[in-house]
Amino acid sequence: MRVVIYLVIVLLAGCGEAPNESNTANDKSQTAKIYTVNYPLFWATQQLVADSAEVYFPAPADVDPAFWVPDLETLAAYQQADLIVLNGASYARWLSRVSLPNNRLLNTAADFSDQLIPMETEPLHSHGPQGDHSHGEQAFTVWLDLSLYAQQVSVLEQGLSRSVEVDAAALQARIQAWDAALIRLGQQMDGAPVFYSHPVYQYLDRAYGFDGLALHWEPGDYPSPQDWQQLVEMLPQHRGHLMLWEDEPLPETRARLATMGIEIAVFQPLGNRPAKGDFGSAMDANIETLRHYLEY
Amino acid sequence: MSGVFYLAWQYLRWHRWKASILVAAVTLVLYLPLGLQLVVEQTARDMNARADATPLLLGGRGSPLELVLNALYFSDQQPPVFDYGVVDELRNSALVDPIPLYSRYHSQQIPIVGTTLDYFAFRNLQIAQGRQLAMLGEAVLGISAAQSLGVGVGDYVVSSPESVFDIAGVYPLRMPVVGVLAASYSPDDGAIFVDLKTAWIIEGIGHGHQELTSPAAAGAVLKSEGDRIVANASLVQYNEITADNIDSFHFHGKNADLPLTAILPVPRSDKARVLIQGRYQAHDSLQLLQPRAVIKQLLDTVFAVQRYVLVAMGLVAVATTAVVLLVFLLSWRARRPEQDTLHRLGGSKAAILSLMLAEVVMVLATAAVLAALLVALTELFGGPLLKAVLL
Amino acid sequence: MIALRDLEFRYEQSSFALQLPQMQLESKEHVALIGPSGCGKTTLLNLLAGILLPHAGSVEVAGESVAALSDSQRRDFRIRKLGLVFQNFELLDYLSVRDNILLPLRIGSGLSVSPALQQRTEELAQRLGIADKLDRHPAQLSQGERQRVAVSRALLLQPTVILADEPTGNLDPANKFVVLDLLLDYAREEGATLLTVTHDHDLLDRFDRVLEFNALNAWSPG
Repeated sequence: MRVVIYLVIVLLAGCGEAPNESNTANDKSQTAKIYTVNYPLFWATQQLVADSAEVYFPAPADVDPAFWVPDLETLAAYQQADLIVLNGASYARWLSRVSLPNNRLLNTAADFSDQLIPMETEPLHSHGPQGDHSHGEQAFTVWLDLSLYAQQVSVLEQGLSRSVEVDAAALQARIQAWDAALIRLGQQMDGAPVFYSHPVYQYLDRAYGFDGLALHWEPGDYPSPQDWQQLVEMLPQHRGHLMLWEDEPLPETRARLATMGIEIAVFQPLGNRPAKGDFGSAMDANIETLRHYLEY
Repeated sequence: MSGVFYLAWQYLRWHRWKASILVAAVTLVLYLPLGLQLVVEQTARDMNARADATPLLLGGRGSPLELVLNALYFSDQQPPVFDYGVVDELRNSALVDPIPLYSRYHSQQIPIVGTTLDYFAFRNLQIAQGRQLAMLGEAVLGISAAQSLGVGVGDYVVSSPESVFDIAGVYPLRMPVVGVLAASYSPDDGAIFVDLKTAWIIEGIGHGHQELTSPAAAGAVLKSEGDRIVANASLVQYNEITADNIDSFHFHGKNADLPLTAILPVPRSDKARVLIQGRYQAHDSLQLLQPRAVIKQLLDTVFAVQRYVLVAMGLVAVATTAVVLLVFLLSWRARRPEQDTLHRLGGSKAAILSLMLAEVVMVLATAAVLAALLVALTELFGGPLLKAVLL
Repeated sequence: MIALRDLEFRYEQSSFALQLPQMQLESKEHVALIGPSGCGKTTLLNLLAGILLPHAGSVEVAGESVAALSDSQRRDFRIRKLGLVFQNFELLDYLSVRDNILLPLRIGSGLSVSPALQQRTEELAQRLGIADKLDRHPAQLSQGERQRVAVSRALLLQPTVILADEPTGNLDPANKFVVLDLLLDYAREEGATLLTVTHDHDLLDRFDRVLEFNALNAWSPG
């Protein structure tokens, strides 16, 4: 009898309902949420969507987004986004370490992957049947080649148009104007050697015909004696009179460079938010800085 | 009449072995056809539901059934692998949203399914405990998988090596369990989900190892020529991805060449579905199919077998019924002296007949109740049993 | 009381036939019926109990003309008015002693196992020395205990006529007197008429009267 009772209880407990429908991670809120991995794409997305979507770029203002790693809470926010805008070119190494909804990723460099510039950051090595390989990636400041930035915006426009109405004409016009201005400036440079304080200007260099060599100097640090020695050794073969900096260097650095006949021009890479203004005004300032150098 | 049932009950109690055998025989006669029908119908319903929830399936050209069973039900059948590059092809078509799957490995016979977060949204899988996959090397378990392995959030699962004796084979990867899914009453409950990249690491295509230029790896370096370093097999490769070593993990070769076992192409519209089917109809190395059609073929076979089995059961039922009737008749004959006693004591022929019939009724009623209970239990557990056999 | 007159009976598929011009027992009389084996003593008891119907003659038992009753009336008469004790006890193996005693109630129509009858069962068992055996089954009892169960069953509804067919036939010498004395004591106390068929001449002096079957002018070729 006891067995019968137990069986009846089991039956009643087992008459389970089908799982309830509930919100999924993919539930569309009324306003689309778009997350980006760097500031240029954040700014471009904002220009395109205005108020019709919420755009996020959660990296803190004082870090390089290329090397920033989001915490779990921020990562969860990315996972919930309706669209995640990627820079491509191995930007944001954290992307290869995390799980994301692939169908909501938008690789804005997908159309020009053959134009990406490789960087050898680690030695070639082999330790098995796979043969030689390197863990190095690609240069990632593609937006400094404004023609590539325009392609990124074009891909962005296509990706956004699935959920919001966008018109990229005004933004594309502005980017084309920057591109044209830099082409003219490059022609004016006429292949004159330049130095870069940091290896972040590869695409600028290639796109506009600059002949640049990169150092590894930080604006906030006075270069070490080895750094100065390296520059001195480069000068005979690369007589550059201009050094592009990500930010204003120390006065003493500027002064010493001046003694070597090298002028400073701040050309912000704009991977993250500028201290003043936005991407548009900062890019205007970059071009104006170069024009000022060439004219004077 | 209640006196008659009392006497019948006492008789059956006294001859409990005989009564039990009769009850068991009748129970089986009643239950087996019903149970079989229920199991098959339930299984068909579940399998069809799963197939209906998957409009399209793409895989390497080969057995459609193997592909469907592996991709939808995570069976052990291994369809041919193909390249991840197909995902990009599908995405670029703007017709479907592809969801890649790599289901090849197990942890103690629980299938490990490598995929992306899109899979969870597609299958409407909810996190019940812990959180969703976030970092490489993590695992989220279906509720049945978690119960079967006896693990929960904070524990670890380890992928099983493909061959204990193959020292060059797949190394076990130790993965922290970060989440357990809510029950979905589907094959997803019995699986371990990992990021696609984690599945490739289990395969050995991706790995993490000591920094070759670090002093700790010096013993593993065979030679170093300029920018090229050759290391030997003593180089420590990590079998667990942690915050300290995650940056060392990398993949060899291009992403597009990495292997998949299936893709779930989710069509953006009916027109898109038709278009994409047309594109892959005559592909020489891939097949795009509708799981419903494949499952229908499988179930048609099952139903055909079921019909034969039911006919056989019918014959057995007839034979069993005849034997049971014979037992009752022989018993009745053997109890003639008892019937005479009852008659002499004042029992009517009707009462005596009722006594005999009451025994039959009680056996049949008990068998019917047991058969009903078995049917109820079958409703609860029978489907998974048949699916386990089929898959 | 019991009265037979011009009784004639024969079995359909046998040459056995019974003819009895007359037999009478007074109310409360205790009579032993003796006769050679096969002469028809059991047949006579079955006729008196209404189990068999005569082809001719009258049978009156406890005021009822048994042959004139319908089948259901005879059955009811057997349960309520008669107490039947058989030589082979005729207990049901699968019933407990208690249920064997209560058996007539379970097969008779309109009867039920009331608390009063449950109480009477306990009392009869106590009186017949089998109170501690009520929950056992016949296979667990001795011959004497089984016959006491049969006697208890026969006396459950306080019959006015007790018909006992060789009640001590299968008992050992010690038990036969015990069982017979229990029957006789009950018959005296309750004022019941007792007709006992017996082969055992050791028991005859316990009865009020002994009837010889042949002396009844009964003729039964067989």
